[in-house]
Amino acid sequence: MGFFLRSSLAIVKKDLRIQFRQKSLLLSMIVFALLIQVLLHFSFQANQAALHHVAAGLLWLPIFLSALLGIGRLMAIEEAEWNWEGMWTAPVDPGSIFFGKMLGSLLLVFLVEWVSVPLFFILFNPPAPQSLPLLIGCLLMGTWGYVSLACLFSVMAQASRLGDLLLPILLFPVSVPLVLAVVRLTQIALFPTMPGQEWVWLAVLGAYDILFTLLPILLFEYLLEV
Amino acid sequence: MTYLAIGTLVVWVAIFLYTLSLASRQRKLQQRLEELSNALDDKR
Amino acid sequence: MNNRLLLWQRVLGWLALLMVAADVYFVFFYAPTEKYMGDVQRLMYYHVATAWNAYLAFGLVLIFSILYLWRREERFDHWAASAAEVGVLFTTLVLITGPLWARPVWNAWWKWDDPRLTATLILWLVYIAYLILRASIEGQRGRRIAAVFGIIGFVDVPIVHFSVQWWSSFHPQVISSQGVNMTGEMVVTLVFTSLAFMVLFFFLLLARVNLEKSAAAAARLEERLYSAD
Repeated sequence: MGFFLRSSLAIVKKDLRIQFRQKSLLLSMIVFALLIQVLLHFSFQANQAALHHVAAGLLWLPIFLSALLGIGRLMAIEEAEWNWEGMWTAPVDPGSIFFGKMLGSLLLVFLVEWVSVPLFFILFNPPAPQSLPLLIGCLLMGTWGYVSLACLFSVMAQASRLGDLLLPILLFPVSVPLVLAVVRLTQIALFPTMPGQEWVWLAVLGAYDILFTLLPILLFEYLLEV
Repeated sequence: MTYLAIGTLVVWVAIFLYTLSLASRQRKLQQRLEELSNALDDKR
Repeated sequence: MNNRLLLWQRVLGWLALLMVAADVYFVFFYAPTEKYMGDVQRLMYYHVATAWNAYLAFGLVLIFSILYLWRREERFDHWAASAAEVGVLFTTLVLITGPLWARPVWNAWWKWDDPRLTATLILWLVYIAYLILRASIEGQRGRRIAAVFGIIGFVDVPIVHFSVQWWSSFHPQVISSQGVNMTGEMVVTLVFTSLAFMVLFFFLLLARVNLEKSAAAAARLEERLYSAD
């Protein structure tokens, strides 16, 4: 177990070193999220009354889309350099390779959220959140599950003729339960509605995260195989 | 035409067309298999 | 092996034809007209029967995906691919009969509040993604990747159901057998229709598997033909 985590962290360190040296991918993801938010502002013209209904979407869409594109690029790096074959021959659990890539991607998406979430509050002016811990928890757990599946499906998409286009086709249907959960939880966190519902959705998110972290770890070796 | 009639029709037409499509694809593959095995025999 | 499958295909084909013909009597004559919805409710039999068999199909995709990853025998992959295709066909029929039943009853083609219809839509999208995935990656790697997605997809199904149910729990407007006053004859009709469609499903599945096998045989012959030069 310790070895597993150490191998994963080695990969995380490698990825973060590359990303912070280049900075271009992280910056592009942040700018992309910002652009989506501005676009959404014009598309929805959400006044305060309508905000109640669309706030969750306005918060999460930039994250979902920016993560989608960013993780596609992150995984493509390995494909371009034939690193997958190299990692496959290394004496580590293939699952730890996945977990490492996933944690690295997760950190980058969290960094994007550090910018996009405050920006959401600035641009759309929602009232102060009813429950900040719930909002933060929802952001953490929601991003975790989404990123995990995005990493797995991204590796699959890289192998296909369609390339990056396949990633959203694979990811969006499977991530519907996560989207439902984070939208409800965000609504509850931001506005005083539907009390008591949050526990069900937190349970859904928790189960989703555990399941769709364990399964990819177990199945990743089949994707790595040459 | 009633919704019931349309629904029933769609179900049966769809299944029928799919079955036909499978049959025609199978026929074409059988032809191809014959061609290929003849070509292989000719090579010997 | 191939001949046994062909034999089963023929047997099931004729059996399916018989049962489906008999089923017409059940659905349109034996079953009584529903009190509140009227005759359009008869679509329910096809709607529910294709839905159950679609789930059967995707369950088979799961099983054969696991078997393929475990044993690496190509035939398991043929079964997985075939089950997915027939499953998507049946799911499409669920999504067509649903709104056709809903329109006269609710005066709306689609209600996002209906958890069953929404869950079926998601299911449809997941397996369409599976088919697109299969079509866009060739060879062994494609089969392996598809098998992984086949497993993830089916594991997701119960979670989708549960979460969509909870999402719409404030407005339960279910277009399903629960909204219907089910008499004894209706239950019998539903069971018979489901069985008829199950036989039909296995016939289509076998036909599709035999198609895959023929395609694989042709590919093997082509390889021999063009490599022996």
